[in-house]
Formats: sequence, C-alpha cells, structure tokens
Amino acid sequence: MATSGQAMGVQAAGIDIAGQNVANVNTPGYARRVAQLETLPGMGVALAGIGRSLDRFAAARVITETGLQGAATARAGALANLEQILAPSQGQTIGDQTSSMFAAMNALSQSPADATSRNVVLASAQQLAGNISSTAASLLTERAALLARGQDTAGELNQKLGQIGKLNQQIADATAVSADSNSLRDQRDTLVRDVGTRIDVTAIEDGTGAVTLLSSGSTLLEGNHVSSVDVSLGATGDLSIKFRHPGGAVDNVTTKVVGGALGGIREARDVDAPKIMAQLDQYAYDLSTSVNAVHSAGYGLDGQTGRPLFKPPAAVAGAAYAMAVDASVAGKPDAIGAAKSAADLPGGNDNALAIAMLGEAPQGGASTPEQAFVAILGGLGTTKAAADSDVKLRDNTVAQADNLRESSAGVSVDDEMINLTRYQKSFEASMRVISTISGLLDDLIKGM
Amino acid sequence: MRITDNMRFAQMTLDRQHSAERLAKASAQASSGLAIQTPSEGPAAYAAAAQADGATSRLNSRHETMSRAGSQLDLAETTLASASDVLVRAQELAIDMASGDKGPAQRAIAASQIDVLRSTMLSYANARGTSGYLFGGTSTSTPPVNAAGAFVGNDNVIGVEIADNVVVSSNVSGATAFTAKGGRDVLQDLADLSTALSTNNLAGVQVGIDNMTASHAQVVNARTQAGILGDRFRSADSITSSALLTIAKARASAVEADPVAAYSDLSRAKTAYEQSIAVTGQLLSLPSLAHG
Repeated sequence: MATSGQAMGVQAAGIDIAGQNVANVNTPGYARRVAQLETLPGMGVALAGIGRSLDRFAAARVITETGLQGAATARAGALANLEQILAPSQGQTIGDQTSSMFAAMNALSQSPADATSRNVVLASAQQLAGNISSTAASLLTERAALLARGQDTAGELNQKLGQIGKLNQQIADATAVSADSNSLRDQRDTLVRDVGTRIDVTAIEDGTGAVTLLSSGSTLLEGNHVSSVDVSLGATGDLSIKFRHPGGAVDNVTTKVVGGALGGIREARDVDAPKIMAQLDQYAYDLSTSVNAVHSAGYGLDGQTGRPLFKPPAAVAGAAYAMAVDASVAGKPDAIGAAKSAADLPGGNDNALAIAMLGEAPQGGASTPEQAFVAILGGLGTTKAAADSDVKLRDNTVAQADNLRESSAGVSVDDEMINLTRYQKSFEASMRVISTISGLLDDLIKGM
Repeated sequence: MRITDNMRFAQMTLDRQHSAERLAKASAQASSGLAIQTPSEGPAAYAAAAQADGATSRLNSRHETMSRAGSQLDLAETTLASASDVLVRAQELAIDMASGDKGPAQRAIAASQIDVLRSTMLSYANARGTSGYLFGGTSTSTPPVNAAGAFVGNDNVIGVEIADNVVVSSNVSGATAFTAKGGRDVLQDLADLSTALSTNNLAGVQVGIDNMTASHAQVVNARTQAGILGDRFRSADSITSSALLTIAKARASAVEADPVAAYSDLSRAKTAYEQSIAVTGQLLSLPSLAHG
C-alpha cells in the first residue's frame, strides 16, 4: 500500500506537469517539462526531477539564425530607405531632372534670346542642383538615423544583458541548493534569443547553469559580470562599437560585428550609404565640372563671359551636398551663356547646343550623365534585391531552426492529453491496488 | 519529427503571409500596370526603363527643336518664294519698259512701282519668325537690312542637333540670299533699276533686266536651300518619331505588366490566397484530444 500511495503521488505530479505544459503552450521560450521518474530500490517509483525537454544544439542554432535574420532585416530596411531617397516612387529622379535640364538647354538653343526659354533653363538647373543637394542631405540624415538606431539597439542590449546577468546568478543559486530553476532558464533563453537578434552571440552554459555570452571575438557576459555595449561616432564618421568590460577594459569590436540588427545597421550605414554618397558626389562633380567648362566659355545676353552655371565644386567629396546654381547666374537668366562669342549675340546658340550635347557625351569616366545615374540606381537596386533575398532566406532558416527547437521543446496539447490520461490511469491503477489490498485485509480480518 | 500545435500555427501563419504578399504584389501590378516599380524589383529592367526615359526626353526635346526649326525654314522658304515673285514682277516690268514704244513718263511710273517692289523686298529681307529675324544670322533682334538697304546682320549659322552629335543649320543665310555675297545685291539691283527707269536710261534698264535674272536665280537658290534644309529636318524628325515609338515599346516591355498576364497572376494569387485561408480553416478545425 505504501508503494501504491507513493506511486499515486508521482502520477499526480505527472498530471501537474502536463497541466503546467498545457498552461504554457503559448509562452515564448517555454521548454516543455518532462517528469523524470525512477524506480526506487526494492519497490516503488519516485519523481527524480522535472526536466526541460530542450535540444541545446537546436536552441543554439535558433540564436545563430535569428542573429543573421536580424542583420539582414535591419540592412534591408535601411536599403529600402536609401532606395526611396534615390528613386522616389512619386516625382522625378535626379536622372529625370538631368535630362530635363539638357532638354531645356536644347530648347534654348532654338530661341537663345527668348526670356522664357532662359528662365526654364535656369529653373531646371536650380531644380536639378537642389534635388542633388537635398538627396545628399537625406543620405546624411539617414546615416544619422542609423546611428541613433544603433545606439537604441545598444541600450536595449545592455538592458537585456543586465537581466541575463541577474538570472544567471539566480540560476546558479537555485542549482546550488538543487531547487527548480527551469522557469528562470526559460526566461533567460528568451532574453539570450533577444540579444541574438541584436548582435551575433554564442551562448555557453557552465556547470552551475550560468551562461557565458561570446560576441564578435570578445566576452559580452560571464556569470553575473556584464559588459556594456557602447555605440558612438568614430573619428572617421563611422560607427564605433565597443564592449566595456566590468574591469574597465574596452574592446573595439566595430569591424567584427556582422550579425544581429547592429551588424545590419553598421553594414547599411558605413558600407552601403557611403558608397551611394560617393557615387552621388562623383556624379555631381562630373556634371558640374563638364557643364561649367562649356558654360564658362559662353556669352550671356549681357555680353559677359566666364561664368559657371553651377557653383564650382571644391572636391569630389561633398560635391553633391554643395551643389547649387552659381551666384553669378542665379536669378539672372540673361547670364546663361548660350552664344560662343559676343559677336554671335543675341541669336548665337552654339554654346547652348554644346551644353545640351553634353547629355550624350561621356563625362568624368566613360559614362554619359544618364548612364552614370542609371548605374547608381542599378547598383543600389542589385544590392537591395540581394538584401531582400537574404531576408527571405533568413526568414526560412529561422523558421527551420524554430521548428527544430519546437520539435523537442514545444508543447503538443494532444501529447499532453495523452500524458494526462496516462498519469490518470496509473493513478487509478494505484488506487485500485490500494483498494484491492484493503479488501484483502478486510477479508483477512473478518476471517480471523 | 515531432509536430506541435505551435509549429502548425506558425506554418499556417507563414503560408498565409506568403499568400497575402503574393496577392498584394499581383494586385499592385494589375492596378498600376507596372511589373517593376523600384530598382530592387528588377535592377536590369529598371535601368533599361531609366535609360529609355532619358533617351525619350532627349528625343522629345530634339523633336520640338526640329519642329520649330522646320517651321522657321518653312517660313523662310515662303518668304523667299514671295521675294522671287517680286523679282519676277520687277523683271517683267523692266522687260516691258525696255521696249521702244514706252516713253519717259511710263518709265517714271514703272520706277515708282519698282520702288514699291524694293520696299516689299526690304520687308521680306527683314521678315521675322518666332525666334527673331529670319535672315540676320545670329543677329536676330535687329533688322538685318537697314533703311538704306545695307545688310547689318551676319552670316552665322544657328545649328540644330538632329541626331547624336549631328548638327545642321536651321537658318538660311540672308547675306547669301540678298547681298553681294551671293553674287548680287538684290536691293541695290532694284534701286539701280528704279534709277534707270526714272532717268529713262534704256541701257541701264537692259542691265537691270539681266540683274533681275541673276538676283532671281540667287533668291531661288536660297529658297531651294531652305527647302532642302526643311526636308532634312522633316526626315530627321520622322526618324526621331520612329525611334521614340521603338523606345516606348522597349520601355513598356521592360517594366510594364502584360495586362493579360497581370490579370492571370492576380486570379492565381487570389485563388492561392483563398485556398490558403480554406486550408488554414481546416487545420484550425482539426479535432483535438483536448476537446474529447
């Protein structure tokens, strides 16, 4: 009877565990609990413990894959913004406005003395320069926004690392006294996964149950010693990502951060955006320089020459942001140098024609302005398309990894119903054993 | 592999999202008529469309300038045709007045007629188009021939680009049409004829007849030049129009959605979405031991 009574207690615990599993079927990070039964020496059964059904390999893979997914998603999002800046879904692109300016110049060549045609040229040049400059400003704003996002991400990371450090301590304390630490581990695993979406991380659990988090070739967390992640602007204007360790040591891990949202933000901010900015600067520089070279040789209706159409760029870097119609021409349609000599005034159109024909001529490199801008858009489009594909791939691999983890750690309501029935039947059988023994004892007593 | 409820729900959610994405994309294509709307949706196609847009802008601009230049040349040709008529009339008068049966009084009247014709010729030489004086070269804002009959314009060319790096003149030289640069100073010849008639100088009238013939040939030659240039513009414009059509087709094939294919895709996406919803419903209604 004692054996059966003990067994009833164990089966009741099994029913409790099934109930716990069903209750947490939708709890993120929950690993289903398994009653660990063992045969007692001699006779009977005992509940040796409550285990977490968790495949550590699968769990680690989830963290790795979510890190890659975080990086891909953050980068693709930033690239979508860059794409919208350079190729807005509404309105004209820089390429369209470049074509418009050359077309206006061509129209002026047919009416060099016409004030309206001159005003149209001036307006199109101002629109083009203004759009190039505002596009460059938008790219800078996007970089600033990515810095802020990186810093927000670092703040979230530090908060979660602090929580993991505390949980590590609590788990170690619980393990030391053989108390149940499963719920704490569930919470910690969820937090580690959250960290993994923000920075590439590897989690290693030690004998005390505490995890050590390694990232970017450095230690992010060990036991309850938590390093802080610091994101700031480096001397070159790029992101600087540092781990500040509890002892005061600092690791600059900037170039080693490739995973998680932070990795994606860094890639978009310091690789993709500067590349686009450099191409836009080169475009603005080549366009200004080539147009100015011809325009400066032309004569305005006022008989003056030597005036550039665009403010001459000091250097390639920053040429896009600084682009503007030159002060000597701005607001002065008569200053547009359409004629090649003063003797040709007012009907001379050779210079206007020569500027219009620059639209078909290679400038700077081997490309026409039209081809140069299309190359920028094409390059960005290809990069963004690859990033989008990467996001899809990572979504799928995360789904696979999640399935692998869920396959061992997830709760199946049907399984738990079967377990409930199983434990219930065992409980009833044990009761039956007690009832049978009790009946036998009654019979024995009556026979005495 | 052990399958849990959450795995089934996650898969259902993922599949439904994919179906919804596909439906949204097909809807956008069908409603906008565009298969490619951003560079990342098709970098090569988007680049082709952007290049086509640039080429279209360039060719449209060329088309407009050629049309304007063609109109100017048509006006120049018409003006020169009228000028040649004036010289024919002057020549007829001169031939008539060279006859021995005409007296000084009749020749004096003819001289005044020649003066009117000269005045008409002066107005033709100073004819204006939409971009200024037709025959002043690049001196388009002042009359190329002053009241004294002196040519004060220039012989410069106003070029128009008719193809990549191909520039042709869009103006007829007034100097060649009306001044000694073309062989005869037409206005001076008319003035000389008038003088010969008013002074009853028969020899001068005879010379005037020859001069009118030469001047007429000179103006007709200029008119022919205007016609040839006009034809060249019309021919180039026709080629440009064809090129615009070709580019428009190429652009359409690069980025525009085929309406039939777009509708078909939309129908398929709609069916797939409906099926996804139906399958999700079926999976959600699967019996569970929890309900037993």
